[in-house]
Amino acid sequence: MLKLMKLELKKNKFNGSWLGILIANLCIMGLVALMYFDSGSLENELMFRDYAEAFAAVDTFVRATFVIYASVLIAKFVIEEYKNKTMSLMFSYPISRKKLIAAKLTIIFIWTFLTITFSNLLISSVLALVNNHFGYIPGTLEVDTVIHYVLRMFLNTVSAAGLSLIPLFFGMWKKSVPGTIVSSVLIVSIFTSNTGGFSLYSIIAVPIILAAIGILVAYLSIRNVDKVDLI
Amino acid sequence: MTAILKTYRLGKTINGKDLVSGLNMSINKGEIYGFLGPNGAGKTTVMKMITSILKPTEGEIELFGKPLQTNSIELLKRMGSIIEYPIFYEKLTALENMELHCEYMGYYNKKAIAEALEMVHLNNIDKKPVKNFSLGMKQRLGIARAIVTKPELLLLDEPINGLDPVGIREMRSLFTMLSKQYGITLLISSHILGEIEHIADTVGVINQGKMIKEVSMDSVRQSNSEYVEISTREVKKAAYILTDRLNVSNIKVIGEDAIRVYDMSIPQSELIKTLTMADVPVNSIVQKQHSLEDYFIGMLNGGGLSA
Repeated sequence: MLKLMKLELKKNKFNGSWLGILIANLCIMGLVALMYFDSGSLENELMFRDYAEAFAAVDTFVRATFVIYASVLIAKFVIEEYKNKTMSLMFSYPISRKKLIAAKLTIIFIWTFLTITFSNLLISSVLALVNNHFGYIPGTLEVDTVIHYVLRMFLNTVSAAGLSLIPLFFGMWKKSVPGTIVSSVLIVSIFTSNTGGFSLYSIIAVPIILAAIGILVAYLSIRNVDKVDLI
Repeated sequence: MTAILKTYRLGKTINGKDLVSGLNMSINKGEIYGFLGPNGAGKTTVMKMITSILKPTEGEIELFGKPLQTNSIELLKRMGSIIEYPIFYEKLTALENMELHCEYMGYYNKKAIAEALEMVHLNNIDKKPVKNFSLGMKQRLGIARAIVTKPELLLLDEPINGLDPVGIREMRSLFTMLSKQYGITLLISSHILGEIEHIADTVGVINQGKMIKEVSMDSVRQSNSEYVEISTREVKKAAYILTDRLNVSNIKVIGEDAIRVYDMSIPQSELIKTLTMADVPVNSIVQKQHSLEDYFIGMLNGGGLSA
């Protein structure tokens, strides 16, 4: 399995798309900075009432961004192999087809998990540092907040990594790259939208169920792969 | 001779259309099997079923003496193939493609890649990604990739496509060499008989998804010897005289005014002399050769297709 994953990386010349991650992080920082300094200039209305809220906002941005990014990877690793017919080459190898696709999905799952964790930590730390200087977020950073935040983030990230696999189902349906990416945008907009402080994610069961659904969907998408025709 | 590949009433229906039906074929170990048929006859479909890219809707495939099933991936290790057209990871170089192939096949002989590239005469390909290759070069690389692991069975779907005349000749001698030196069994499909008639040991003719005939080339050659066609109004008398006076046994009356003599040991002058002396008017006498091409086209016509 590990070997298959290595070969996948080699085949797609995938180096982790550092540049993409960097650009995405800068964009999120820009957005958060806009919100942060905007709230700083309006004395009467604060954008972030406390650190918890600020971190939650960062987390939402990061998750939304990288779940969509993951769908691009699904398109690249899985859907395009079908489109380019290179899948017929892969399937002529003495390797279980399920394993081949599972290797691809594992890469995407791990990549999503790691990038979300990394980006969250980076942007939150920067935000905390900046706030040390400007102080637009009231209150101090308590250890409790941090621990709670890290735990919550971990849960959300696992969930997001699972969630990121749901677009595979729509992509496999018609072997369509736009289908994969559009479905991920829809999924993200449903599950991370925030209305007056309430998002579906804040119900603790939702992220857990979503992660399970994502993994289940991934399984269902590849369940029959060695029994059906490759057209 | 043991069969390395056998199909039993193999059939494939997609969307209610019978692409292949009731196909029985048998390929012996070590032979070159020419798979002949017009475009759209079902050659590629059959080959896809053998590599289990498509699943048969009826019948069975037996490979290396074992039935081919969904989980028989180990059998794939013993095959090499190019189906339809050679597919590569276009952004990678030829060498990277070959290396990946070997890794996935679980074949770790470093020298084999260079050897295979040498065999197909593919030079000057150093750093070029495959997407910049011409069709002929891709075809060569595809063949190199298919043979690099020295498989027992090699499936080549129209391997001559896109090659120049020199290339075609090179590939032909390569196929013969692979068969003779390495004992590889080859299944080569084509819609042009000329491509395979010189190298194939057995030819299977397929049309509209059905196997029309499976014959060894030797027997085809024997049954298609030359003949002399004599045109005369009195065929019955001519036939009698030829059998009676010249002792010719192998003759055939064609319609009302022609007679074919398959016994080539009698010179034409002798035939004319005998017939004229017996008062049989000879309008013309022509020596003809029934080409293999005619033979196969005749077979396809018999199968209900207007060539």
